[in-house]
Amino acid sequence: MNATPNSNPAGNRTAGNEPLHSGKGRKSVEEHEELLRIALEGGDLGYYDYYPQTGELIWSARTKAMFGLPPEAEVDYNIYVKGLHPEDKQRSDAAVQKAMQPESGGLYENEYRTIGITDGKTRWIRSKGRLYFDEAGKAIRFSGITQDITERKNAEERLADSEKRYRQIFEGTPVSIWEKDFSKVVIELQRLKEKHGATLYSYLHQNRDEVHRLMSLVKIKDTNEASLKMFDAEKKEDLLKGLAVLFTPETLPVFTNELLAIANRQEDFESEYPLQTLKGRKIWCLVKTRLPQNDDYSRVLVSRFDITDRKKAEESLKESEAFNRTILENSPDCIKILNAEGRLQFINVNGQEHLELDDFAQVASKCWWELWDVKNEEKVKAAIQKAMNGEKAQFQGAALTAKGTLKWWDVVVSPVIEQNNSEKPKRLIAVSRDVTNQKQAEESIRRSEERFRGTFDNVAVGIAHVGLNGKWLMVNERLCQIVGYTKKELLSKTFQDITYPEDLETDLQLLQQLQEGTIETYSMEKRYFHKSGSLVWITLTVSLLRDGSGAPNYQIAVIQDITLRKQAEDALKESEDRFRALAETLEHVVDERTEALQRSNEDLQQFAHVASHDLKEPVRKIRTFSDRLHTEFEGILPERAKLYLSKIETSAERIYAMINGVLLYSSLDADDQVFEEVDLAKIIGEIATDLEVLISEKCAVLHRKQLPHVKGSPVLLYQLFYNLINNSLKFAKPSVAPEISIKAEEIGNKKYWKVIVEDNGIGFSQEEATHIFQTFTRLHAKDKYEGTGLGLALCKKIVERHSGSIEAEGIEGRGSKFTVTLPA
Amino acid sequence: MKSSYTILYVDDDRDDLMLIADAFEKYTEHLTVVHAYNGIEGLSALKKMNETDSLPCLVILDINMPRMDGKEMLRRLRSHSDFKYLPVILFSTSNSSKDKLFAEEHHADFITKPVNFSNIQSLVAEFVSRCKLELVK
Repeated sequence: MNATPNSNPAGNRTAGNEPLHSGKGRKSVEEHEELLRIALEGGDLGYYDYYPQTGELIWSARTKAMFGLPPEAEVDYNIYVKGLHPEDKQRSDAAVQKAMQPESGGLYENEYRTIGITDGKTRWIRSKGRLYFDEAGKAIRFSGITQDITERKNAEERLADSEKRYRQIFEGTPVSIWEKDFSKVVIELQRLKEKHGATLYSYLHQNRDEVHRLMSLVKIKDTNEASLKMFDAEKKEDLLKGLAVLFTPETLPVFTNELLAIANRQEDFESEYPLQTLKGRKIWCLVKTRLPQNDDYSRVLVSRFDITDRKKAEESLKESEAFNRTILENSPDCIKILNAEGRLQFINVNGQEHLELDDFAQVASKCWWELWDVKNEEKVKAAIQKAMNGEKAQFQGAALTAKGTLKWWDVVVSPVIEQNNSEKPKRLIAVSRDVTNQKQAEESIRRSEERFRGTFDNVAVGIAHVGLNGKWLMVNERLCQIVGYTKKELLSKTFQDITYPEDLETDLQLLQQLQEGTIETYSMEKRYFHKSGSLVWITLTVSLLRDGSGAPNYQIAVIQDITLRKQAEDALKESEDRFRALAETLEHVVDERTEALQRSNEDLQQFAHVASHDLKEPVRKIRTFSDRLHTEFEGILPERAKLYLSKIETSAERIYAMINGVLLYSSLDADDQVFEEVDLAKIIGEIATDLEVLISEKCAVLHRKQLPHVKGSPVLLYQLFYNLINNSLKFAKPSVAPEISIKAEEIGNKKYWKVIVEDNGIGFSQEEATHIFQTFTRLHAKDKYEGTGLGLALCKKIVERHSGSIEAEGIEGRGSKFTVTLPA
Repeated sequence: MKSSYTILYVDDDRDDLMLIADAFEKYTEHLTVVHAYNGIEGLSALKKMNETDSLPCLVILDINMPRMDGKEMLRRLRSHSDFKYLPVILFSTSNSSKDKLFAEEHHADFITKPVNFSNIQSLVAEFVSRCKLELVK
């Protein structure tokens, strides 16, 4: 530690030390912190407490677990660094360093990975803390809470993965796929159904305007590359304008039937109708719609297949055989002619290629169903039967080609109507389209979608798709739990409806930046109203999903309940506040005590001064009158009276010296001495002159070497060295001539001088050296060596007034050594 | 040249008065020592002397006295037009540097009361010679 305890004003927080040293205060803070720790542990949170100046680091068991450490493990800052994921080390260290600067405001927040020190597991940790600084701006305490957010991070990653995969398949599939929002039309159909009941069918078929209105409620959210090709579009936006762009008058009745299917919540349905491309080209489409099962109609997938060729083939069949044949041969589909028994009579060339036949002879006159998988046999036979009854039959099925490739087929079987003949058909035409690619694409979309749904519904965090206007489009179970609404209730609301008003502005601003593209994602802590009316604290992370053209489509929001954490933080803050209040109270008490102490110290000095002063007068008189008695009655006094008189005189002299000492000692605090440059050689010379009599009496030798100039008060420095040299003379060995050496050494690059006064006197023990500087300490009997018991105490006080120090070293019987350190 | 001169000695301590009186004994032929027991008495004695135009050649002031101490009396002397330049000695048991400084600031000498009687005697001898010098001036 580099803090010198003396330089701290009383009541100040000392670096690295708890400011509360004793008493009830510390106990209550400790108890309170303990309660808080229990609260944190209970609330799934860990905590840490770090004292940068001592390096002391405290982690709760939970924090240790986040670094893969057992609860009893010892921790320090190196352990923390060791546990960090290599990719996060630099960033996390920078975040800590930044927070350590007082300009940062002392707030620290970070998310980082750890690699468990004993278990090697990777974990995501969120840490939030606060730093405390001393007056010099040095960080003295760094404490906060940690939370294991691995699950949330993983969920976010899985979700992002799933979304990405879904997008890839969506964009890459050769099938024209459309993402439509049916939520409004479903609500509207529900209303109409409740109003019209069984007559809804005729109501819709008779009210074109109503169908147009319903049509406009269907929002096209996205489509893919295959659709652009199919509908002669140059950019996606042209196709996202609405259904009406592609509809022809013939489309409407079929579309009406589709609406009825939606109204009846039919899961899967297909329709065939003509549509027009953007260039006005008419194409026939097979439209497959799959309604979701979870009442979320905001993202319904619709696929469209171009069946124009098949339609043409069907129509052309009615025309001349030769012409027909040409068409047949040119059709990309597999077109077969069957006899009434269902035996193969003809397969067009393209069809043979599809079936990987080398020669039609391989299958000629075989029953058609033999080409199919056994599972499909009944389906094939039923279709033949239906067509033989004059109706068109459709089915879908899988079959192996001649070379064993599994292919999916979309099949339409129609009777060949012979001219002028109303009898049973003699021949059937079967048009099969190879839909393997579509099937596979559909399959992967379905799987991807399922996976997406699975992630969506099962993760432990709330996830939602939110429309640009704030409407909840899709919400998962966890989110419903967090806010207490059912899915249905939530889907009829916007996020604005349930956001706590104070938090709304910030959220909307960030959302706007997100939509404008100035930020890619944002996170914030905010409050929702729970259905029960209570407030729920959550963290919200929002990113934006754009459609193929780059326009914002919808937002993905990840929502996590942090109410517990917030409560812990509130408790922490409350505890901090109480702690601070307590600390302030204590500081106040310390200030008061210091003041009282100063007062009492001043009183004491005043007392010592007055007492000594008043004491001096009677003592002076004892001395004066003893002196007169002695001199004026010398001849008359008996010897014994003279002896008594001399004892009185000696005692009075000692009292006088002591009083002078006390007066000097007590006035040292009060007087402001002027500091100037003092030549020590000159001072020591003066002392030597003043002590001349004593020096020659004792035959003492005074060695002086290299004495420097120092800053100080000449009067006080005189007193200091006078006392030391006088002591050396006083405490000389009875039969040895005193040798006193005074020399100086420079230390700390001329910042300080060490002045050493050494003698060969009676010395003192090392134990005695420790209290030699206390007032009224005497090591020797009064009658043996004279002294007031104040000389060295005064020396210490003088040295301290000069911001220096004094040390005593002695060997009993060998001499003493006093080292005075003074600023140069 | 005057044949006799006066010293005003202001001190509440009768022992000290006696000691000083003893020391002055051998000079009484030419010398009158006027005693006052505190600052107030000292000032009124001075005013009386001033009326008869017989101001003392030296004023010796103890510091610690009742009613008005020596320092206060010195302060008043120095702000009085007639007493401004009177030679004054602050004469005290104290050897406090503050008191010494006060004396210096008020153009007075400071002497610590000696312990040995012989020292008192030599001090008094010095006072007397100073007075003679004053008279010559």
